[in-house]
Amino acid sequence: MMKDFNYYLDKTGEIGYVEKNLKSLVYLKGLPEIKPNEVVLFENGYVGLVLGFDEKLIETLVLGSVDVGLGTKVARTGQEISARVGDELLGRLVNSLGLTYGEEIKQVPTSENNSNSKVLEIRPAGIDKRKDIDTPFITGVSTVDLLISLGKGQRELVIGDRKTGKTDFLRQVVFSQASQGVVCIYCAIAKSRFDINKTYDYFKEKKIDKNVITVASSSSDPSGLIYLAPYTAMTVAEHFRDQGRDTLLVLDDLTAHAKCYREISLLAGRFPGRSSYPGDIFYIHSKLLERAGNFRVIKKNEKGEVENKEAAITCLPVAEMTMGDLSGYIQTNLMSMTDGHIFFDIDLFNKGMRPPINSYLSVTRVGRQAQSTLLKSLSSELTSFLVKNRELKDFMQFGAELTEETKRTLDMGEKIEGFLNQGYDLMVPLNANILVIGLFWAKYFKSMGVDEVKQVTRQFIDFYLKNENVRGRVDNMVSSSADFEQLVNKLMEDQSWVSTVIK
Amino acid sequence: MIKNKSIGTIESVKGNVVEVKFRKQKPAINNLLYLEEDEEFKLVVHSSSTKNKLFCLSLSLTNQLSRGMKVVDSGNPIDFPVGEELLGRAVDIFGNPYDSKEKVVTSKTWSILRDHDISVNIDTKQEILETGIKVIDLFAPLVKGGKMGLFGGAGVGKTLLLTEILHNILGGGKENERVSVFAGVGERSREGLELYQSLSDSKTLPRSSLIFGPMGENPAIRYMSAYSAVTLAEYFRDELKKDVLFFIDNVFRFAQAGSEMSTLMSILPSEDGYQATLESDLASFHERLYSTKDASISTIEAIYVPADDLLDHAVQSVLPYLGSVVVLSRDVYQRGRLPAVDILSSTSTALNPKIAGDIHYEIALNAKTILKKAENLERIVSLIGKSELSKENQIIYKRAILIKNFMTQRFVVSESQKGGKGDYVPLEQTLKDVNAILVGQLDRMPEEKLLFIGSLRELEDGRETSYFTSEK
Amino acid sequence: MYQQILDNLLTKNDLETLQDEVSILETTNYKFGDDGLDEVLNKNVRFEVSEAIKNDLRGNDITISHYVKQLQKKLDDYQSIELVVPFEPTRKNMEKISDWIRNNVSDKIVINYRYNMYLIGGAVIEVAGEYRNFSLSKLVDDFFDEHTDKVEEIISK
Repeated sequence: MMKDFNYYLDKTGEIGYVEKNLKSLVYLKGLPEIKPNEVVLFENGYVGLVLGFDEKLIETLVLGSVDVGLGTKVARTGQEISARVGDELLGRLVNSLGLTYGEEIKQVPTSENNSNSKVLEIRPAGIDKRKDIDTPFITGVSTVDLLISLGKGQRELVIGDRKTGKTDFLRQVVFSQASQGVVCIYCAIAKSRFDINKTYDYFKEKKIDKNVITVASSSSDPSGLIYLAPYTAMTVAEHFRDQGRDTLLVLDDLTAHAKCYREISLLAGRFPGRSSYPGDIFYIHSKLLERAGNFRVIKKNEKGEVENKEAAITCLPVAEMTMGDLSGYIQTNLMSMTDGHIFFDIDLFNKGMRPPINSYLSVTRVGRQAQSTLLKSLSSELTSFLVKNRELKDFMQFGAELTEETKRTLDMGEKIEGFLNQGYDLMVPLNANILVIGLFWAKYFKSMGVDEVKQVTRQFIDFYLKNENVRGRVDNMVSSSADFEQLVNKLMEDQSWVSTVIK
Repeated sequence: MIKNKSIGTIESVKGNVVEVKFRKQKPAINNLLYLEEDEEFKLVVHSSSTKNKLFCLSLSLTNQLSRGMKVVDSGNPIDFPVGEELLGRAVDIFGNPYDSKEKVVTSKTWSILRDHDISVNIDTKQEILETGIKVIDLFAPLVKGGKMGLFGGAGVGKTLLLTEILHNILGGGKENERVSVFAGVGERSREGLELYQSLSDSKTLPRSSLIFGPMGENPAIRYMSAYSAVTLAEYFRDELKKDVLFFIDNVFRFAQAGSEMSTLMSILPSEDGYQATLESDLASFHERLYSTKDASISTIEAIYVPADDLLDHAVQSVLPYLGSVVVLSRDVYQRGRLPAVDILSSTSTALNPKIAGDIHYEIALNAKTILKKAENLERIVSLIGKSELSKENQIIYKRAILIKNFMTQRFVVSESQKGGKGDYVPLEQTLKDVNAILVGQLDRMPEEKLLFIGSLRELEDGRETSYFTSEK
Repeated sequence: MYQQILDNLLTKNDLETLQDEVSILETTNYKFGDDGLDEVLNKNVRFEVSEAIKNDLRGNDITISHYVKQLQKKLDDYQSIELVVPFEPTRKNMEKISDWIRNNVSDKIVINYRYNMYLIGGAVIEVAGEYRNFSLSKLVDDFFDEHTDKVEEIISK
């Protein structure tokens, strides 16, 4: 239960007054022993976050959309900024303090009034608490799982122009992961209310909401709340990691977050640096992203015995680009903090590819070490093929004569691209992906047209998902092949069962 | 002699910059301060703010500070434990363990912000330090006791290249000769962990010391970590008289940390928004990494290029200290040539007949000339195709591609990522092979065959001998 | 010297008014020299204050400008504290309180009185951001909090 203003006055024995008002930033006098990051309470019930202070005034962010008038009384709470975290958040839409979204903030969950609250600012763990990344992270999107493999605990930047389908892709990934029991936290940063609700409804529709937490701040929220949102989301993720559970954290998007922090800093009179961003814009994000990774977790199980577990916080931060320019200041900052990036190409989008992921311009720095040998060799073959295919397509522009071999390559290239253009509703399990590519190499689709290939592969995936026998057989085939060549050979020897499955 | 410790009070806190008022005796710049009520909470004196007040950098999270709190001057700058006990360990800027082993105990500690002694014998003997990486040894060789910079934007392979060089150089050389000090300034903890593990796996950890100030830490810690590492390197050079390999990933983060703190102190910013003291910050760091007649410090630095902008002020300010400059380019990276070195932009002061020798110098020069010519032909080729070039130009164009492809190489440190074994290619072999290309012995070889191989000998053993013209 | 004036400083309002008056004196003196003194004292300064000033100047060998400057300096040293009370204090109340403060705390303090009837009794004191609630209403609240069970028992009977 929230304590009221007078309670805090009496408890802390200090009082302050609003002396200066710059909209979302106010300056207070009084409160002699205030500390940075502390929460203060205004007499009208609203809440503020202390950023810093000098001998005379205290810099405070107002966490409410109301104008706090000059002379308003302020009390300390003596508590550091915290958010409510805990299992009860699963399935819910909450704001940057872990409280019900949409409600005006009149209280802050602190250790005093909520046993499930955690402070938002901590130092990221050192190397002694970390473990190397060794398990694959399956997104269900073929382009990513086959060509840009990710690992659990990886931080992969999702970058692309506006409206290129990044959020749709992320919903897909959340669906894939949540269906496997991974706790997913989707953090909306300065999004429109409409988008926030759309995303939240999607999770409910797909019945995965019991594993998903949506932490949201809308663009009309006070900048203090927008600023806090990703830290809250990370704190929630850490709560589940400490229980030994893997989590996925999506931060949509950090370029908006940077702009919000820039606004706050400029109001606070900090000197503008490059592109007018404050000097610590790098640190604001690095201390956040460094809290994701693969960790050693020591916990007591039900019997009270100490267990050594491994739990990962896989992070997918999002960055918006302008006109395909990968060299923007914030964008390159984020790239140097993450373990790779997935490039959403506006040209591919305009050509109809969904998701429009450009695998040549995408990078993964750690995903491959988590791949099986089979997948590694497949990935390598597929990548070389697609590179060659692309070069041939460029060459074609000169109107040169095409050899039979070239024609075949181009044909297969087109069909594979058709397969990779999977749309946002389909989630493809890894083994199904592997088998389809194997079938391509085994020349199974040679005589089919592009559309037919797409249809057939979809049906196959459908069967894989629904039919246990099919699934069992495919899984068996995959796990018993040491590398891609072996798998292809097996498929070339016996393709009949595939046809029966599909017909 | 017991000196009365000087005590000040906290007046303001903004970010991790704390203003402390000292009425009577003021601590010296760079002195270490601690909270009276919590000795573990440390601050460092940075500069004066107004009369009687000093700007200090907090080295811990500021959440427990308030106005009026008492701060004690320890009387000394930050000390770093120095000694052989540091070898094989990963520590933070104070020498506290980052690996899960026991505390580091040494008989000596040195202050990390000492003035270097400029009267000391600065050795200028010049010999090349081989890295085993073809493109570097040929076009931008490192001089023993010199400094090399690896420049690149995000995700073009700086850290990978640095780690490969570390492995190659440390792995060679006799057992007791060389030690290495690695400064992880503002980089990912994951990379620190991976480096630690790979050094451990390749058995070179016992001769290395790792000092980390990762990107999740506040700017003061990142900034100081560079100095802690330099101090340890100086100790190894001066007291133990061992040759030191000094690695730092990433110098840019050192400059950036300085700029973060400077904006918090409202010091008028300089070019590109950097701190006014950027040049002297970089100087005070680099000038300590010199060699003496007893021992050398060879420095290899990774330098991040923000927004791919090579003209960035911080990037340009590092250049004067480097003998060897290796530029990694996104364009080359996207074409799949790894390491993604832009050969024409990379240089080395060692590339002259006196240091590198006549043969090396000539081969490098000729290779660069061909590459330059081919670059000029690039436009024509992209418009009308290779076949429209004159016979002579076709040869030049082909040899350029052969050279560029041959310069690609598999790394040992990325074996887990890429699959396939890494290669170490001795300089002598590289020179021989490149010369073979220059004189035309490979004019009939399909260019792709030279991608990601070690030396040309690999091809000779295979089916490709027919592509070689004239006996080798 | 000055004692008569300063003794009359009880409230923050007193202090601010006096500071304004002294400021006018200073400006006039600067503009018109010592001649303008009488007029200003009659027109722009309160009677008690102007009498006190005249007394001070008569009895001492001091220039007006020096006198005014010294007075300003003394006034700058004053601090104000907030006292919230559940009644409208009379001048006599205020004198008693200020007396006590001068004898026990400091003679450079003025008080800003605020009225809040809900305190019932006692007072709330604020000094330089420090807040202490010594009101009767708080005592009652605390009592009820401590003995909630007993109270509930009594009520349910």
